[in-house]
Amino acid sequence: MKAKSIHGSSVSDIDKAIINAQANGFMPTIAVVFISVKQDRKAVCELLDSKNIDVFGATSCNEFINGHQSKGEIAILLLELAKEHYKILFEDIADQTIEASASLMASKALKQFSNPSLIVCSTGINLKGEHFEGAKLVNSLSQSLGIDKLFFGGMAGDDWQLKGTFVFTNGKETDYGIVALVLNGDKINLKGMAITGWKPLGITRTVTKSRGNLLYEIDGKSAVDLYFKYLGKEDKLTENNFKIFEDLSMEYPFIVERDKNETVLKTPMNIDSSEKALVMDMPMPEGSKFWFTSPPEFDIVEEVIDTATQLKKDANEEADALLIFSCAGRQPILGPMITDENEGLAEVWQTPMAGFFTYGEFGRVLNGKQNFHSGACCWVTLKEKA
Amino acid sequence: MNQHLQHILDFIDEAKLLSEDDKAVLIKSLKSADKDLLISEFKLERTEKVKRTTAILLEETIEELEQKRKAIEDSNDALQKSLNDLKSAQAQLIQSEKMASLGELTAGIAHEIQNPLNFVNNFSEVSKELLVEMLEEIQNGDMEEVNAIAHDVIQNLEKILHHGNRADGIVKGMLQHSRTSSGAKEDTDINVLVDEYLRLAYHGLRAKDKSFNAALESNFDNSIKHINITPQDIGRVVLNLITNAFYAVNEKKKMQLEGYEPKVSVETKKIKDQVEIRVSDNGNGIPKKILDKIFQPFFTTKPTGQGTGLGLSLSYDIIKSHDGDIKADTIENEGTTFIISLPSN
Repeated sequence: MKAKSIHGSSVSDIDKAIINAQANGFMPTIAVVFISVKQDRKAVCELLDSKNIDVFGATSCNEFINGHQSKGEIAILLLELAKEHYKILFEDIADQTIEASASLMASKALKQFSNPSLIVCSTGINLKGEHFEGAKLVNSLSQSLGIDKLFFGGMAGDDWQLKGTFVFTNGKETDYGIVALVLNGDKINLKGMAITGWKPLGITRTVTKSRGNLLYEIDGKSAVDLYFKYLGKEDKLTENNFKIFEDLSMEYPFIVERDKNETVLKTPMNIDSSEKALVMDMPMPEGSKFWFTSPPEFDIVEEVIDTATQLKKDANEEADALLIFSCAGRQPILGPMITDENEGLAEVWQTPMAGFFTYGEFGRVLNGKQNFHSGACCWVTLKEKA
Repeated sequence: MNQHLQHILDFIDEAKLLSEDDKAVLIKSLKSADKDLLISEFKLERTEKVKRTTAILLEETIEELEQKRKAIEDSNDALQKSLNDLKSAQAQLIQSEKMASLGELTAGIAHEIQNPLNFVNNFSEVSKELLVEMLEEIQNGDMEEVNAIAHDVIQNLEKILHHGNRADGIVKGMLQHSRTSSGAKEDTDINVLVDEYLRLAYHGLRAKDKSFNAALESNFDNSIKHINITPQDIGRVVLNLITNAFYAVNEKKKMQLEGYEPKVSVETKKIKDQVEIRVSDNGNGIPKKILDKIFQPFFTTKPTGQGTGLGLSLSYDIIKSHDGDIKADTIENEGTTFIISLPSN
C-alpha cells in the first residue's frame, strides 16, 4: 500500500496537493479526510469524487499531518489500495438506534470480508447538541463483528463549537451516523493502541443518584456542589456565564471503573440548573465507582512514544500509513507538546500520517479489549501484507 | 515568538557579516530555543494551575475524611455503649438462667432434704424414748441394760449426725449452684455428680407436676475415677440437659400416643482419654432445620416466658472452657441424645 498525507486551507489547496502527490505515479484510491466544519466539505468531496477517489471523512477539532498541525483546515491521508481489499460503509442512524446501525454495519462488513478490520468514525454531537454514545457503538460493533476483530477510530469534532459534527463519504453526509473504512484483515494489518494519561486522585467515589446523562448525587451529596467545591470553583456556582466544560471539566473529568483493570473518562459537559445536576457526556449509572482526576503529567508524551516504539520492536513490523485519533481535550493539557506526541508517533513508524482531535476515541489499550475512550491518544498503523 | 528572541532574529536577518548558511543555522537554533521557551512557560503555568487545583481537591478530601473519621469515632462510641449494655443485659440473663435452674432444683432439693430430716426426726424420737427408758433402768439399778441403751443412743446420734451432714451437703450444693463460678477446677466424682442432678431434676419436676412420670435409667462406668472439672458448672450443664430431656418426653406424652412410655437415661463412659456423659430421651427429637441453631444464644423452641434460650448456649460455653465437646444426635419423632465429652485428666 502506498500512502501520502496532504493538507490545505481550501479546496484549491487540496486540488494542488493531490496533483503534486500524483506526480510520481501515485494513484490514490482512498482519501481519509479530516476537515474543519468551517471548510466546504461538499466541495472537497466532489473534488475527490471527480478524481475517482473514495472518501472516508469526519469533521475535526483541529487536524494534522506529518510536520503540520492546523486549525480550521483540511488534513488528508491518501491511500493507494486495490479496490478489492476495502469497502467504505456509511450509516445514517436517523430514526434507528446506534446499536441497530452498528449491527447492520458489522453484518455488511462480514459479508464483504470474512476477517474485516475497520477504521471507524462516528459523529460526536448532532445538530440538536446531543452527544453520540460512543460506548453503545463500540459494544454493539464489537459484539456483532466478534470480539477478536479490530477497529480503531474516533468521534467527529466541530472546532469546539459543540453545535454539530459530521461524518461523510462520496455524496453522503450525516450529523448522526457512522462511516467505516472496512479493510480485508487477511490483506491489511492494523496495529494500534489507546493511552489516556489521566490518573485517579483522592478517594473512591460512588454515584448515589443519577438518571441518564444527569448526575445528581455523589456519595449522597449534590454532584454540582461537590464538583465545584473540590475543584476550587465554588465562587463560580452562581456565575451564569461560567463555561464548565471549557473552564473546568475538560481538564478535570471523572475516571470511572469499567471491566477489569480498565477505566474510562466521563466529563461533565454542563449544569442542568432546574434539575441541579451535572450533565455528563456519558451516563454514570448509580453505584458506579469513580475518582476525581489529575491531568496527564508532561511525560505522557514520552510514554505514548515509548510504548509505540516498544510495540513496533516487539512486532518487528513496519507500517504503510498512520492514523491518529487524539482527544480534543489533550490540546489544552499538553499545549505545544501535543505536536510532539503526534509527530513522535509518525517518527516512530516513519510513515505518512494524518489525524484529528476528536470528541471520543475507539480502540484498545495495551492488551485490552475493544473499548470506547475519552481523553485518549488512539493511534493505528496500516500495513499491507506481502 | 518571544520578543527578545524576535529582536535577535531581526538582528541576524539584517546582519551583513553573516553568510546565508550561518544565518540559517542561527535561525534554526533560535526557533528551537523559542519552542523550548514556549514549552517551559507552558509547563510552568500548567504546573502552577494543576498544583493549585490538586491542593484544593486534596484539602477538601482530607477534611471530608476527617469528618468521616469523627463520624466513625462517634459510631464506635455508640457501639461500645451498646456493647456494654448488651453485656450487662446478657449478664443479667445468665444470672436469671441460673436462678431459673435453681428453681428447677428447689422442689428436688426439698425432697432430698426431707429424707434426712425424717431420719433425724425419727432417730431423735427413738433416742428420746430410749433415754426415758434408760432413766427408768438407772432407777432400777440395771446397769447392764443402761449400758445397752446408751450404746443404742450413741448409734442413733451417729445416724442423726450422718443425715444432718447430708442435709447440710445438699444445702451447700444448692448455694454453690446459685453462686457465680470461680472457675476453679477440682477432682470430682462425675458419676456421683450426674446421679445427684438426675435425682434432683426428677424430683423437682415431680414436685411441680404430680402427673409427670418417666422411666429413669442410669448406667455409670465405674472405671471412671475423679475428673478435674468445675463441679457447679458441669452440674449446671447436666441439669440443663436432663431438664430438657424431661421437657421433651413430657411434650411427647401430652400427644397421648398409644403405648408411649417416657424414658430418660443418663450414661457415663470412659473412651480412651475422654469421659462421655450421655443424656438421652425418647421425645420428639429436634427438627433438622433448627439443629444447627440450638447452641446459639437466645434460641428456644419453648413458649415465650418458659425458656431464656440460654441453657444450651451456656452449656456449650462451659464445655468448651473445659476443652470438651458437646453435640446432639437426634432422630425426628424418636428422640435425642446429647453427648458431652470431657478430657479424663
